Amino acid sequence: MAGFSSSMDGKHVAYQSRAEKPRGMTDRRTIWWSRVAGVAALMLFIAAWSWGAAIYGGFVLPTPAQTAARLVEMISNQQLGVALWDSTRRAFIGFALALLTGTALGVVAGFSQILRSAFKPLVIICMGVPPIAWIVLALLWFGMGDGTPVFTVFISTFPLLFVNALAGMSTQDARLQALAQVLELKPWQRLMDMTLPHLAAYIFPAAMLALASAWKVTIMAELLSASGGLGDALVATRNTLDTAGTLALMGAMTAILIAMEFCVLEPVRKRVERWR
Amino acid sequence: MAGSTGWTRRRWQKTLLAAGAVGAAGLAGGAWWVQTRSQQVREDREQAGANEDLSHLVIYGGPATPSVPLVRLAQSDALAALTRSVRYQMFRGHDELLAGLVGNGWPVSMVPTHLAANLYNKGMPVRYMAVLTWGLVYLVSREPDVASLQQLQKSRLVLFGKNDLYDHLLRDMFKRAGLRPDQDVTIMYTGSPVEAVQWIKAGNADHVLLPEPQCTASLEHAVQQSGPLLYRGLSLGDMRKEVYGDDRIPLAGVMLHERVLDSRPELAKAIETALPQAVAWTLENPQAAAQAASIYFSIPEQIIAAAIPHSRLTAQRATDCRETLVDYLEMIGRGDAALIGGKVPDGGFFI
Repeated sequence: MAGFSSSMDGKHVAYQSRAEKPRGMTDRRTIWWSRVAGVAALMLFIAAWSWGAAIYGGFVLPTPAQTAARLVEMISNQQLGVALWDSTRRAFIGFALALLTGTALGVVAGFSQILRSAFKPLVIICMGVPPIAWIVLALLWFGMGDGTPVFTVFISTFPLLFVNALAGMSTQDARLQALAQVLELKPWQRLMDMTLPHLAAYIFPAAMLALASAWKVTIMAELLSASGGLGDALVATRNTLDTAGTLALMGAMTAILIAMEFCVLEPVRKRVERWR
Repeated sequence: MAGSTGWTRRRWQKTLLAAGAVGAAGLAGGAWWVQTRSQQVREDREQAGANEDLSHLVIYGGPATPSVPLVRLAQSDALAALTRSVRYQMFRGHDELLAGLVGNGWPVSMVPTHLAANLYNKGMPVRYMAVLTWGLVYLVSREPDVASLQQLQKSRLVLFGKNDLYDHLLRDMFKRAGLRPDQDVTIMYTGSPVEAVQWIKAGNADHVLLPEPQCTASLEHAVQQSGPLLYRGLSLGDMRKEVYGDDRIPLAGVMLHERVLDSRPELAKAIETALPQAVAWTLENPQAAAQAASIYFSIPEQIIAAAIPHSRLTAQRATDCRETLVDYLEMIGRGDAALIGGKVPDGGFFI
């Protein structure tokens, strides 16, 4: 009826109605249209930007072309290189610390109700205080170096990862726990082969959110302390009234975040979730 | 297949596609139309808000002592004949100033000279009318009698604002005096003046560069609190005299929006005439001037009053001291041309 060949290669099969399509498989047309939609949305965004630039003038809102030119200029001047490395390093260290600590403490708290209640006030304090307030204190304690951004990132992203690890712990399948007891698995085996893979489904979405948050908080901390990095570069473009430079830096920041998520997190996630 | 009736998936897709295409075409057409009209749109928007506020004039100034004569200007009757009301308003920082100038078209404001030049070079409709100060930045040290640049050898200096104005001015003068900035003198940076003062009090630095009124404030606090005493040392002007022979640094001045000059030139003239009188009054009556200004500042009036004599206030017309201004802007430009907008502004900048 539809006139398609029904090849059974598994990936590109045409279905005759949506009811027939098993979950997880998308047909060729949907994939193609998704890509078109993505590109179209991006083009619309750039069009709206140009429109705004035409109305408001080049000082308040530079055109996309001016911004791209400024970005190329900043890269070729090597202004960005060191700053990018500083910011990325700080965001990553803070994020990694939060990930390890949050997961570890979440697992530990998962075993005991008493520990869970012990951690609760700590988590509430970390969640309730906005990162910018932590920065003020961190500046006093750690000064101008890496310490301030790393500490602030850690404090503000740790609760998210802890809470998600805890949620993962409390949803473990009781039958698998019983099976582990029957098989007399060692604690280490239980942890590596049962608990952590199960937690991965909870931790990875949280990790993606935490990474984005870590990146934003790092830039904010650098903006307020004179410690280099992209935040400092933002201060420089602000002082010299370089709006195109500010937008160019924002573009660079977005690109870095996307790179971090898709070059680091995605491959790790794919590997860990292979067991599914 | 025979045509199926009803809304199949195919039909939905085709309809949406068509709608999307029509929508995109419409959007493109609209964008093209706006693009050709954008100049007109911008002008209309500017006209709509412009010039009504010139009869209820607001004079804007920043948290520094050159604002004090502007407070006097607003409160005296000098402009009463040409306006229905005059008042002064303080902006707290760089961002607020930009938002007001670009977004609201502030007519009269006290701004750092290099910022005015930058705005002019970027095409903003502003002009520089008069210099308000010949220098108000001092080195505050842990020992007294720091009177020459050479005494700074082997010392640690802290200042706020890396790669900002004071950083470039200082480095330029150090280089001319033969001091290598990071080898003969260690320069450290903080994010704000408050932190810089904390550093010198904690002993992490020997000298700190501060503008008025923060300079007088830190000296007073050092006296009141138990801790190391601080002393006022070289000013940037003294350093410039040592190196260039001229001790005037036109740090800040009055900037006018072009719409004042276009629509109310007599008002601009009146401000130009009244400014020297306001400055003279401030210098003769520092206590009264400080009292009037203290509600806008977040520092006590005694400190403002004590800071006034050290602020070298003046009201020199820009066209009369154009060479000094150009020298100053060139000095900054040698450090970082982006701070002044790429080049020294042309003649149209100076009123």
